[in-house]
Amino acid sequence: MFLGVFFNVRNFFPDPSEQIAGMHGQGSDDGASVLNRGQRDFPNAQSELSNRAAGECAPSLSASPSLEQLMAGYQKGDAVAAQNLIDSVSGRLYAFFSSQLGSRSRADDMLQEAWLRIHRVRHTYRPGEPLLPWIYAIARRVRVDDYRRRHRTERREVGPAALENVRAQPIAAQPSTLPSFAELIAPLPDNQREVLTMLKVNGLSIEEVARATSSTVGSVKQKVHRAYDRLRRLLPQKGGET
Amino acid sequence: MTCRDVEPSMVPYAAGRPIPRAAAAHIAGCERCRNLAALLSRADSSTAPGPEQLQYIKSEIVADIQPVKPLAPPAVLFALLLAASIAAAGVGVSQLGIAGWRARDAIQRIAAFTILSLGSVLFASSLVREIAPGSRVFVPASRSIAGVLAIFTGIFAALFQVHPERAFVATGLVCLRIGLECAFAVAAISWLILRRGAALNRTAAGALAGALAGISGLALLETFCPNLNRYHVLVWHLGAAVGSTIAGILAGIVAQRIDTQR
Repeated sequence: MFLGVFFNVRNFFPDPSEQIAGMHGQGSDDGASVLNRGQRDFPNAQSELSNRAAGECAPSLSASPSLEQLMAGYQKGDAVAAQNLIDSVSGRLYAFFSSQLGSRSRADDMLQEAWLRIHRVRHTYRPGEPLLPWIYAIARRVRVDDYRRRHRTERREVGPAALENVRAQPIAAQPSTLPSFAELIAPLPDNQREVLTMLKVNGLSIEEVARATSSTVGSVKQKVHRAYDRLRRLLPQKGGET
Repeated sequence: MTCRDVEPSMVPYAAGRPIPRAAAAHIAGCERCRNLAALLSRADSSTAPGPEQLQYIKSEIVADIQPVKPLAPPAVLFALLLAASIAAAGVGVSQLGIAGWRARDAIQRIAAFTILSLGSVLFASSLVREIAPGSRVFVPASRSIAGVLAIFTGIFAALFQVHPERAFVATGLVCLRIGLECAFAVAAISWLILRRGAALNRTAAGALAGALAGISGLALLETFCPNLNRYHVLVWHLGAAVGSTIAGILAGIVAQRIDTQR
């Protein structure tokens, strides 16, 4: 009976796993009722899910097999492969930075810095290994270095009150009246927010997140559990506000 | 099924991918989990950089593009690191002799050299992973170092007796110097072996390199030094390994700071 959930929810997410999901999908009233309850709790969810159907999920699932080949070409000095790789990965990296930093201009700087660093250490990618953890590990380090650099500079140049204002700025104006994903995960500790962002915004697996963050799989699972636990406690309040 | 049990299915569910029936049943019946899934489905991954910026990045990279040789396979680097550790300790033993090996009983030899071998393997493999971004981590560097040093402390405390010693500091300093010299040699060779790598966490890489080098120094001391006083072994022999690890951490912190300020 619950297979219907997949069938109905899947309609909002036409991604490359659709064929696999289709094997499970049979459709039922139960699935529709679950979705309706979801809409009751989050009235804007349907339009947001429809927006996502534009294909944000698609690259994370379909492009990964060829990313490794592009990277191998990049290592061999193939300019076309390098440009294709930049096109394929930059969107994800930008989403990672913008959801973590809360500022598009900073995300722009970070993206540029990340690519320069990727270029500098491109020989450290070992052909045959998954590429995304390698890229996110570098991106993560770029973000941490930037945070530390800014933190040091801001401490010297502005008072703590101004710093709080900078940090408290919302990510970006969203058309929805609901709080954005970034706003809702904002109260989480940095490491939990990072792991959730990699999992959900960037579509990495637990194993990939573990590699990217130089942690064990168990440690990532623990962080995710703590993040979910905290969000579950926060959600009724947030739901009430909407 | 509990809320915790469905956590691995939460992201796939929010993305519309298939999940186990039991997990779907739980989410359908649990308001908090359903709300959480709805929240996750609102994650915005649609932001994209501007085309001008992408063009700029491409032009910068293409202007400097050259073929590069990938890092050597992990097994090769691992073998080289172990060989460097053994060679440095071997050179020391060839100069200083094996009086320590002869003075120790079988249990002391087996216990110390088993942990020395395992520690070297653990640190060398972790170090090889540390210099390649996105590598799988089995044991975090801090835990592996703390664990191995704690085991050594336990073994030395349990297997060695307290003996009266006249020149505790003077003889100890000689051992400490020899241990650190051997460690320094291993650290220098390790740097040569791993210099093409990219240690993103330089503190962890420094700690691991220091610990690997320190263990090599400790192996040399355990082989040549016949002083079986528990405090001598704990303070000066183990101290060489701890000192080398601390030096590695400090070097890593300095390197990280320089890197951040660039």
